[in-house]
Amino acid sequence: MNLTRRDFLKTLGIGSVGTAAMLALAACGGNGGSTGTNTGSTGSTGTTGTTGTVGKTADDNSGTNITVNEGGEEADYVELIVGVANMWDTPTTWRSNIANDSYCGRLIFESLGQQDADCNWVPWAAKGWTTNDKGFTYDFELYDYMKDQEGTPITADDIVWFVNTSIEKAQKPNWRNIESITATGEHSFQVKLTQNQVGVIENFVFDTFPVSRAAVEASGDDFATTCVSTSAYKLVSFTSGVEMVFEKNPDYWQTDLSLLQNDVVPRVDKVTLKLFSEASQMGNALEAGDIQFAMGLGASVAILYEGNPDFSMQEYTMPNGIQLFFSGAENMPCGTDENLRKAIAYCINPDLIISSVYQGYAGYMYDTANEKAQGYLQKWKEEEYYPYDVEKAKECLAASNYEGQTLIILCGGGFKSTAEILISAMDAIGVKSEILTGDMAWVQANRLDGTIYDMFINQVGCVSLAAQWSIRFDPNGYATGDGTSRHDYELGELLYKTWTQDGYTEENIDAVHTYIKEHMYAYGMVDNHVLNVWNNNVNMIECVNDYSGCVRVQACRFGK
Amino acid sequence: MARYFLKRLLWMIPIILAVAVIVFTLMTFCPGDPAVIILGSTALESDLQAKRVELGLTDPYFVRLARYLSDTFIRFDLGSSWVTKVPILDSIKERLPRTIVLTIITALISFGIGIPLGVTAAVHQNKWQDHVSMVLALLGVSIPNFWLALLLVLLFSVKLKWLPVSGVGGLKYYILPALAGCSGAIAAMARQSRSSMLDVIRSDYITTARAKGVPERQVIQKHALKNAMIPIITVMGNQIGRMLGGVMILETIFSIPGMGTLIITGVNNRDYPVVQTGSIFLAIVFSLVMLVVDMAFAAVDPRIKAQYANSAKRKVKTNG
Repeated sequence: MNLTRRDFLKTLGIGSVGTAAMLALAACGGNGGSTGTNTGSTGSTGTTGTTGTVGKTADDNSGTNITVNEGGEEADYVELIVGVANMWDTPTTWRSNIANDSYCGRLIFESLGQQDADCNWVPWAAKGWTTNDKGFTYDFELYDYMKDQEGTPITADDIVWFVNTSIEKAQKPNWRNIESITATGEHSFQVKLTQNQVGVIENFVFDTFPVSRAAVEASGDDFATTCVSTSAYKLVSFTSGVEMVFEKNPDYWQTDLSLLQNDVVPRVDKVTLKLFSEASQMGNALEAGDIQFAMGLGASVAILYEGNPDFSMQEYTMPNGIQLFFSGAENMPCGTDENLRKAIAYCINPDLIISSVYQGYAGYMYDTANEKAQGYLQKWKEEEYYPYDVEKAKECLAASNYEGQTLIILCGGGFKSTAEILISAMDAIGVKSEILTGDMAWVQANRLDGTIYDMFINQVGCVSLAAQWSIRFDPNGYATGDGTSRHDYELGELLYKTWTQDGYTEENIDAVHTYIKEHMYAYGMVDNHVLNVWNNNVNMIECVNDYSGCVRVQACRFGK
Repeated sequence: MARYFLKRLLWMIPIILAVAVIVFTLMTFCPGDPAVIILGSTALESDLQAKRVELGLTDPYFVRLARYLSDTFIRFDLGSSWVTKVPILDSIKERLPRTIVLTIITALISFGIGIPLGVTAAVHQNKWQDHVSMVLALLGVSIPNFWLALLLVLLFSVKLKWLPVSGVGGLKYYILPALAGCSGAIAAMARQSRSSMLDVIRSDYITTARAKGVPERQVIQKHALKNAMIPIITVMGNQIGRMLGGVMILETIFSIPGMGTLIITGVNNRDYPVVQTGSIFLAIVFSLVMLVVDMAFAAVDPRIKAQYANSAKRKVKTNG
């Protein structure tokens, strides 16, 4: 090899650049590779909407574009692989890290009740329930033929044991207002509440999983590694942090499927849930064909599929939203200065947050809760809710006592982009601010201490407005006052009026909403949407959504 | 040699105890409340306080430390995760093998490519082979693991569809993570091998061997490489240690439930028992790796062997 040093370096340079470019081009070409190529959908494309389904229709969401091959012949056997952004680390009933309503949760266990298409609470595993004393006492009836996957009958004693054990383990505060639960028959039991607050019995029916006490005790680890439930799907394989494999239970106890809501009817034969903790990896897996459905895909990845005829995309909202809570502590500028808080609310441009942080997949808010919360009043959408107005913000600032202090914005890592936009917005009206952040545990530990921050960006949602407001504004809720170190007992009185079923009236709800808004204790910034994307080669012939508008894969129908 | 091995083994005891105390202390004093994490954002103060009492978080530091050390090292009770309720020993039994497999594959690729690359560079010093090797080494050091990982996924999984994007299963699931994880180690091994070989190649005994007409291949493989291995083995040990720690990022990207993700999740959840026990197990594995490295030293370097052999002989003489 007679290469001169100069020739060698030249060749090496060209080679390196060429190799790097080829690698990058080859790799980056992957995402666009499927555009314009039909991957096997036999149905008509561009059909939006769902057929004969329970839940929100696809038309309700702007980003939704679902291909459904209506009238196609249903396949005899369907097996699907679904990517999810979170998954329980263990199937135990008493784990705590991920919410009960996560995608895997509804496959592992059944609940006593669930929400229907109109967000009303209806029976699922329970036969039904009644109340006769303004919602303090509930009588439940179970199906006398309910049994778990091993054939063990489920009785009222099992439910009583499950609830009492859950209270004893204190793993989640879902049982806070349960005074007692007693079996009144082999298949009936009674629940007494200490508080007939709206949302309490709803939490109870959703978080109570019918399981056999004998099966739990026989497992030796409270179902931490294996699970026997009443679900229509058996968890046949579980690798913590990787995947859960479910197969349809041929001996499912509920033989009359017409008694079930459409979104929990078992139709798919085998469902594999795969966890993707790194957002872009779920998109890569969808593109590579490793998964067929990507549930909860990040907005920056999901946008790549918008308008792509090979993929369906679904956009929906959960009952939370992104909120800005102001400190109520007296040592913080925002804690005592209503005009400063209003100035900040006016200077926030939700459109900017929606377009830059959520790629357009988000909506406006008119309260700290979004419209999915029980009791939400639609009239709020017609009211003025601190529209983006720099001049008005400056007016409020001029009327405030702000003296150039640097305001502190507490937020978790996931909200740093939103916080940076907030800093720029405040900077535009002459308010200095900086971000205070840490890992999730640190932020969670400090979120109740309003003495260390002026503002706290959070994402929180509850079944009812009463519950949602209470966790931040109940002045007796925490040792330091409310969830922002504020001691506003006037607001507390208004709030307590909504805590009973009789008091959960439009008038009382509106009073709390108006009080929080007028004092600007918290500002609902944007309602971020959840995005599901799936490959049209699954040949869906009926898309079935749950109450929130999220596709329930196992209940959908798929063609041959 | 047996004494040397035993001595090193005994040294592991204070090291592991020290790791246990340090990790416990760090977790205790780092900000964050496990009760808040476990009970979530809807918990009120009364719920939180009840949970703190249940977990023993209201006890003084020394009481908790004593309880932890006694449970772990006297009763051998590693407990369960506060968050998931899974017995920690079960989690470790399930996850440690994955981390070890990933580390071994990464190490094999790194050493298998890095050492020959360095040797070739040294043997062909200042020739094109040397330049190519060193440019590759420079690239390996410069490319961030996570970036390379995502690029490899786009190429081999999304574009070519040869390998899975993530998850665990057969060996094919470990190829991309190992390739992404080995770039830095290949570079380090290549540079160290080149440097060590150059030192040895200039030695008098190599010149003598060549003068005696020993074939060049034999000179390099039998005489030079064996003597150059001592510093290379040191770097190998360090690299394995770095890989054990560094797989955390790769495990997260590739959804591999190994020790890295276990400990990271534990830290994020302030799940003290998981972090403490996980760290102890990683410390044990690392100590064992270093023990193997030291044993390899003894095997390669006759001076270490002689040192212990002489000391044993002296003892026999004294006793006699």
